Amino acid sequence: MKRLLALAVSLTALLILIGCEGEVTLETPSVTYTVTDNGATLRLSWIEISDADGYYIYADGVAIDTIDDPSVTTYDATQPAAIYEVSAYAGEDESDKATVDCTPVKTSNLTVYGLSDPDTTHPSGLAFTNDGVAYGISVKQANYPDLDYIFDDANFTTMTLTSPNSYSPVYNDKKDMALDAQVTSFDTVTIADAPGNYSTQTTLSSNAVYYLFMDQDDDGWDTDSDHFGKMKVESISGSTVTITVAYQPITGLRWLVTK
Amino acid sequence: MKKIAALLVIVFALTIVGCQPPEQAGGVTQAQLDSLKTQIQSLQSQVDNIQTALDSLTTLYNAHIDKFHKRGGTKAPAPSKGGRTVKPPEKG
Repeated sequence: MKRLLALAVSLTALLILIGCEGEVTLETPSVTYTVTDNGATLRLSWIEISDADGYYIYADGVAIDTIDDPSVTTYDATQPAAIYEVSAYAGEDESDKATVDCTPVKTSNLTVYGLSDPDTTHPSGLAFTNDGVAYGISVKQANYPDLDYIFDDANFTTMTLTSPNSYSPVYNDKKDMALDAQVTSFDTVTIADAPGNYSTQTTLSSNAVYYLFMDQDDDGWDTDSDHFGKMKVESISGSTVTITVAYQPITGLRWLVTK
Repeated sequence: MKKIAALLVIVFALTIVGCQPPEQAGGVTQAQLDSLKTQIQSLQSQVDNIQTALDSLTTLYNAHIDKFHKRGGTKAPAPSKGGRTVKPPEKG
């Protein structure tokens, strides 16, 4: 009888111990980022998550790397993607994912007009809102500060994308440049070229894609105010130009993954 | 008993014969294969040289197109909505 009682007590104690073991709840990493390597790399950082065994890194929903040391809290992302995610894991458990959105803002089929177009209501300039949406803007004094690019077929024999600071006197001090990407597919371009070969005057052709480098303060690449983008010239008909543009809102980052 | 012994001898003999490495593969000798390998390596080297020459030619062609056909240069400033003159292009 005593043995039976002892067994029952032991079993009960065991069940209580097992049942009372706390479930590990992993915090979601709070991820910040900096742009490095002339805009090619996004360095992700977070604070160490207690109880974690490590971290998973995802690019556009696909797990691309595992950090198996919980004290390592930075990751240099070099694979261009629209969305990066970081989660903590402990054994089979995984936290929610922290998201860094690197999606460029896309504006499709925007119509602008070369400077030679006599209709003053037809915009010959290109500008971007604070959110990165591209829009056509008339080249008139009130708009000079907002101009990012000018479609000039008045001072050039063919349609040319020019920088506002490429004139005398300048429209504004921005040094906004472009470079032929040598491809025709907009989505093929996932990262813009590093600065060096961009020009303040770029001849445009139909069905061609161009990298955009907006060196807003004309001091070379930095993460203060510079932005990258890509632009496809869908068509050029006389002075009428139809374009599709993508603008990377993260300053200094050259990634341009669109789908 | 004798039959079994005879059978074992036959099996042993067949195994020995079957395990001998072939002197020829599909009628091709090792020397011929070596010769073919040398020819392929030579062709590979020639293809690499052609690729290098082609890259160089492409670079020259693109430079020529950029210089003489693509940019078209600036033309005399004409009255426009901008009413400005164009400065030389800058790189960055």
